[in-house]
Amino acid sequence: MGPRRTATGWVSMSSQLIPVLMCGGSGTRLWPVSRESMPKQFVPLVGDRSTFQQTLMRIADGAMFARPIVITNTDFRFIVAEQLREIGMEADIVLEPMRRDSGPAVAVAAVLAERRDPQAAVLVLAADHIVRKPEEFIAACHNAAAAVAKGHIVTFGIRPTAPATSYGYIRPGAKLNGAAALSVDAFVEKPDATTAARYVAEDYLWNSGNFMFRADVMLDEITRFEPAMAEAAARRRRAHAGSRLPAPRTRAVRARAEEVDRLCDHGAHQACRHR
Amino acid sequence: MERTKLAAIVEADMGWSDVEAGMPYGTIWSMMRPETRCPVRP
Repeated sequence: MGPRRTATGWVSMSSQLIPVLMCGGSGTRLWPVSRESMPKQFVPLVGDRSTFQQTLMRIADGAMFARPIVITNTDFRFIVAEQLREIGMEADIVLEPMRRDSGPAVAVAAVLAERRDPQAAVLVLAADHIVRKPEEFIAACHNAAAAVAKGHIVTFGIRPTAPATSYGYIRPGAKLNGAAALSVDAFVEKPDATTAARYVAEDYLWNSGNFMFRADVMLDEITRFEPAMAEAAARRRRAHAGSRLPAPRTRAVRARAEEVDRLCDHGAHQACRHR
Repeated sequence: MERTKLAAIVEADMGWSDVEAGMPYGTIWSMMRPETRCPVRP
């Protein structure tokens, strides 16, 4: 990733962003279109490709993005492989032994990314989102990368178009020096309609659930706030590389240590490489 | 609950929506290709 123009000037990233797609969910609220055997992220709901494929195609620029890591459920491994093949892309596929929340997936993503490059920026993306302005997504990635390079854990915020009650909100804080990012004053869960209207009036942003961090920073934060989970991740790290210990916590990082261990075991021993 | 002090936010005007959470099912249905629609419109 060469020098890029951001809202605050040119930044130089020494390496590519490592995209991590999380697509292990079953999306059964959209049943029967989305169902256990074919969740919504693999269905071409809008357009000719599934949102999983559309997400991959947004990160296809090899100058900016490294080979993606796809974290999915064992049930979907063939769908993932086939849909990758359809669009001519490759990825490292990590299979969850069972469905988990995003916390263990983030921990595994950080561990795997750190193996490639401890200071690489990791871009975690949901595979079931629609992005109608891909060029703005790329611009946001550049802006986020600038803040990530300074050690921040960045989430992508969306200006609300309505007082939605189905999204979490973020109250932005002060502008961060030298980066097109704001500090986070508060994360708030899905509000009722009255509260949502107030949030919109007070310039809160929707929390898109997509975020970016440096692998070593995230692992350090996990160590600080979720030590049991970090310990499980660290076992994998020691087993497969050097032995530095990490660090944090975002709301996403919440899971029992054994869950991480199982996921890490899978990431380490059963990550399969689709070619 | 203690949280990281490193959190930051970048606003992204990228035309984003979460299919499941952000749209009424009828809206999704109307956007879908006919062959992927469920038999009964909600």
